[in-house]
Amino acid sequence: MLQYLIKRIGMAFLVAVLLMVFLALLVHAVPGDPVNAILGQRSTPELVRTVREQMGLDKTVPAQVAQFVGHAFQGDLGHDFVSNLPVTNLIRNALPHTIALAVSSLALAILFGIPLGVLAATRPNGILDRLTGVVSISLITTPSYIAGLYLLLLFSLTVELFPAVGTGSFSHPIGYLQHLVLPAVALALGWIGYFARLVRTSMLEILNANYIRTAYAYGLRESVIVYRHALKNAIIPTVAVLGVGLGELMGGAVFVEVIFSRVGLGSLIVESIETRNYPVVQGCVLTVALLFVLANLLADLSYRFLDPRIRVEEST
Amino acid sequence: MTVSVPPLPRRARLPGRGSLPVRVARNPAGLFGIFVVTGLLVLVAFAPQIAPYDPAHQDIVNRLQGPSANHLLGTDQLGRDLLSRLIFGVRIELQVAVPATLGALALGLLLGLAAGYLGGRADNALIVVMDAIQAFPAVILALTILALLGPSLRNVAIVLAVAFAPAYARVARALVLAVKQNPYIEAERSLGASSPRIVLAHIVPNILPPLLTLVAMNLPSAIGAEAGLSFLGLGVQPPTPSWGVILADGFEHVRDAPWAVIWTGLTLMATTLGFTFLGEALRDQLDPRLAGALH
Amino acid sequence: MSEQSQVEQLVRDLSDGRLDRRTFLQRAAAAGLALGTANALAGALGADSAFGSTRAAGVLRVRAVGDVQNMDPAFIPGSNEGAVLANVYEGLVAFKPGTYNLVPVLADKWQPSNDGLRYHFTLRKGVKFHGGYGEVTAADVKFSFERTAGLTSPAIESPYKSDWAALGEVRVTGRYSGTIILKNKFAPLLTNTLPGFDGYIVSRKAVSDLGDDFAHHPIGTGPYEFVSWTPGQKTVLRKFEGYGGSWQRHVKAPIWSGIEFVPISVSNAATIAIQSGAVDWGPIGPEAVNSFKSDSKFRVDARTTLNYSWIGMNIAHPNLKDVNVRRAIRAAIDVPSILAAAFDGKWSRARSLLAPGMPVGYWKQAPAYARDVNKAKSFLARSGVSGLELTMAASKTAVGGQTIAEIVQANLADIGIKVQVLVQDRSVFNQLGGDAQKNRQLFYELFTTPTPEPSFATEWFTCGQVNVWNWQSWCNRQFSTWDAQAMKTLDPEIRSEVAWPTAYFAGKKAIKPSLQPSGFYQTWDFRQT
Repeated sequence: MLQYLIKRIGMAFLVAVLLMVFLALLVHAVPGDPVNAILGQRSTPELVRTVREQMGLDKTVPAQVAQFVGHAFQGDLGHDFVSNLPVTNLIRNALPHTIALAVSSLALAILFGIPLGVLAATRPNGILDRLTGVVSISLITTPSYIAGLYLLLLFSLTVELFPAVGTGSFSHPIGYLQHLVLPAVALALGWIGYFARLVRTSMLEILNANYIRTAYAYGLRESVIVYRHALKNAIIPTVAVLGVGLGELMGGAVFVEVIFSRVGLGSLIVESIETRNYPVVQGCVLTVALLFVLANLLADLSYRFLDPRIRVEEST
Repeated sequence: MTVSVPPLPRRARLPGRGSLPVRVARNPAGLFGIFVVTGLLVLVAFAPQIAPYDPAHQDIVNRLQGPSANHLLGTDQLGRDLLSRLIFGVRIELQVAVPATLGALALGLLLGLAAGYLGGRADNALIVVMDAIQAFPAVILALTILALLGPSLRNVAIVLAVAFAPAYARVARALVLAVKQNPYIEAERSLGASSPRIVLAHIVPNILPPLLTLVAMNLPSAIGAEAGLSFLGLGVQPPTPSWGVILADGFEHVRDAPWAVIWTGLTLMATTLGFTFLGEALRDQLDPRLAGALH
Repeated sequence: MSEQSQVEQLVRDLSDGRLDRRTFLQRAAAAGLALGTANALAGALGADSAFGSTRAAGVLRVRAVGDVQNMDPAFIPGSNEGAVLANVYEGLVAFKPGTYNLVPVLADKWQPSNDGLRYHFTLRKGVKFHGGYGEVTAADVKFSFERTAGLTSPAIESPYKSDWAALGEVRVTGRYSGTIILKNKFAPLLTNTLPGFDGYIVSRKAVSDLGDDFAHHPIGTGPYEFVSWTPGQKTVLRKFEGYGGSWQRHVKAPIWSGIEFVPISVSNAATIAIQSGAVDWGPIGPEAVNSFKSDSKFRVDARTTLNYSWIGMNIAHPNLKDVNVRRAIRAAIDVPSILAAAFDGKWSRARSLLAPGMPVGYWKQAPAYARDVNKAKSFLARSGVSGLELTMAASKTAVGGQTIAEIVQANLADIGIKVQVLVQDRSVFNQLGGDAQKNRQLFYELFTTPTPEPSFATEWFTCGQVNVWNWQSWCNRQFSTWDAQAMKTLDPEIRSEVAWPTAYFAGKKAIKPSLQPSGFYQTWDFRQT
């Protein structure tokens, strides 16, 4: 177990370094100049030169890459070109809102997806099963931005139930939750469908397993079998995808953050790409990627912890 | 953005009689898929004949109109006919989605073959690279690369090919490993067949059909991704009538003229659903064994 | 009734208790107040009589078009900071709200010399800076102006240095008095430099104490003091209890306990935010005007700006070298359709670089070209050019930019010119000089002119700006000389005559069918906060 852990963390670390190099290279090859976006109408060529020097943009690309990677390891992601604030400040400010969004979406997905899957699995090929099958695949194939736009149209503009724009603040929890509802639902819908299918499949496998048949033979009540024994084991595969899920949700948050004008990493990335604010793009993308790696690692470990049948594979 | 989809509930096996389309159509979901995809292909082929207007024709006086007899779905901010724009948009969607998925297939096949067949260091290196690429949520990866390349139709296709390739590579690698176990491969090798010959004559033909099924399943993801990136202004550029561009234009006026958003959303949903249903029905018919291997 | 007397009447009504705060806001904006000044003014007005108590009203939430970035007056990037700082800082003088008449603010007395080279000022006594930074003295005035001019040591490199280019020094003659000494006559001093943000008085002590942090922690003397900035979310100001009351000679005391600026850059989201009550007040896009006007919960008021936008052609580009090609393009473009589709008919057509609201220089009889496809075709035929393909760039953030480019594309298609539309990020669109300028063909650009200084609207078209902001690459020595002369004369008649012979500019050369945003719309609702 320890060996596996070390190997897994080593991989995550290697991936993180690769990411940083990749990012540093990537953003410096981007066309467009942040100075133009920052200075605007009154800038003079001399001023542009001065500002470029201040930003270190006059250095060679390898030097900039080395500097970025070196500083990143010390937790320094550089300064925002525009406001000159440390990028870590901006991320600290935006990240909690993205995490709140991703986690609440994941919670919704679990809360609705798992029961839906169980429901479908209890009567395979019944009407309910077919119905949930169609519903869940429709949810899976609906892009989150379409869900977001429809929810916005329906529940903010037509029926004014929830606020359409903004994030709210943590100091006003009720207001914050009101702002969170529509974006979280928009983001969760696809995963509700996904979890429903996942749980249904693994439930069916387990309900066919020998020990469950034995339980039936012993005359245990169906609900006991389904909920106490089968579900417990059927959930394990969903744990394995939680990590990927959280990461994908943080990425998918871009759309709903833009649609609902939310503060968050996604909207920060889109904005910073627009102004070629390299340090912010680098910092945010790196943060998302690291969290993604971390979430995968944790999910992987807990999966192994939960399911004793899985042995540590040496090959991966 | 891309979610690997677990297999649809395995239905009772239908009798294996009839041609493939007939067998697919016997399943209501498959029928829906055939209907949607055929419809889209017809629109692609006959867009100029079917669309009531030139999608670029502006009519400023009649802009932002709701549905009417003249404009069945209404008009956009320049008075262009929304129905015509959506119809011509199908071409754009396929222009992005088909090269993107085929590119991902080619790239993934190449990498998967290399890793699976060569094994050892090449295999390990590939896994690290795939892990690195997949450590980015797909949307963020696409955004960042698009920022590098600059937004355009071609670049969206490239970005999506790169983003989807790791999934193909993994599947290809797994399939290669499985095929390699077959005794006849060993036999070929002992008879002195060269590696390229073995790969081309025996491995590729064996692993291609399951990968092609993955292509069918990936097309709707590519369409959805294109529309999303273009919606953010980072994909296909206006005034090209990509669905993402129509959606972005519509979002600007969503409060007073929600039609563009409503119709584009429905079109996108029906399209992705149709492709997915068709892909799943095809997979069920072509290769039920595969159902498990693909995710 | 003139705008000025309207405002005075309003202020009297409010202090007499005839108006409540709501109505005041409505009418004040109708009288034509800039967002920033209206905040300062509305804030500065006493609520006492209107509400019958001295209790402060709530917090006013304002939609900002974007987030603040740098709040140092010597470095502010644009109007987002401008709106915030208008409440935080004060200058020696300012435009009386709703007018372009100078009134003293921090200055108690104000006396220009006859030759226009010296300006004597006496400060009001006992005016305090925010945050305990003490009383405003003549030394702070000297520091503020000389700092932006790059005369302090170590010198700073302000983008607004040229606004103070004529400054010799500020001579301090007493704790509260001093003289601004110019090296040469400089007309923009009174139309832009002093009444604008270049004229804000900063605390010398605060600048040296706060260092880099000064950019994110403004210390001024205004009716509201800075509290906090949460990037991307809000900038919070609160009523300054120690306010020196410099504005109160013109208006009354602040009524809101605080002001929050909420950045919402997308016009569509702003519309939704205002409609749903997430913010109380703010500018809206032209496309939202009608629906707010028809909604009784809201009040929409228009304010005429001095900003202008236009479709430009880079005459240095091989595709656009031929004057007949440019004439053909001008004749093909349908300006009324552009105004209707891109601005919902809310902006008006420009006739020259100088807007009608400019105190001098507006050219009323300038020609406006109507669309004439046949004429366009014959111009094109005369040029002998065929199969022409052009690019047309617009910034993603410019209101209506994409729409305009698409209309131009359709218009030019009618005369056989193929146009590729480029909707670009600001950072790409704004690239100066070099290849960017070489490749530039058609473009849509907007210049803001926040103060009534005509040269600010015209200086971008001089020879010196070729390869910088003169994207037309149009260089006319005579025009450039006129522009320079006009800046150095103070006589408005001469300024009007020698300056900006726009007839020459727009009449003889087929450079630009211009559009002018002279309508700028603001809206808010009046739920009590």
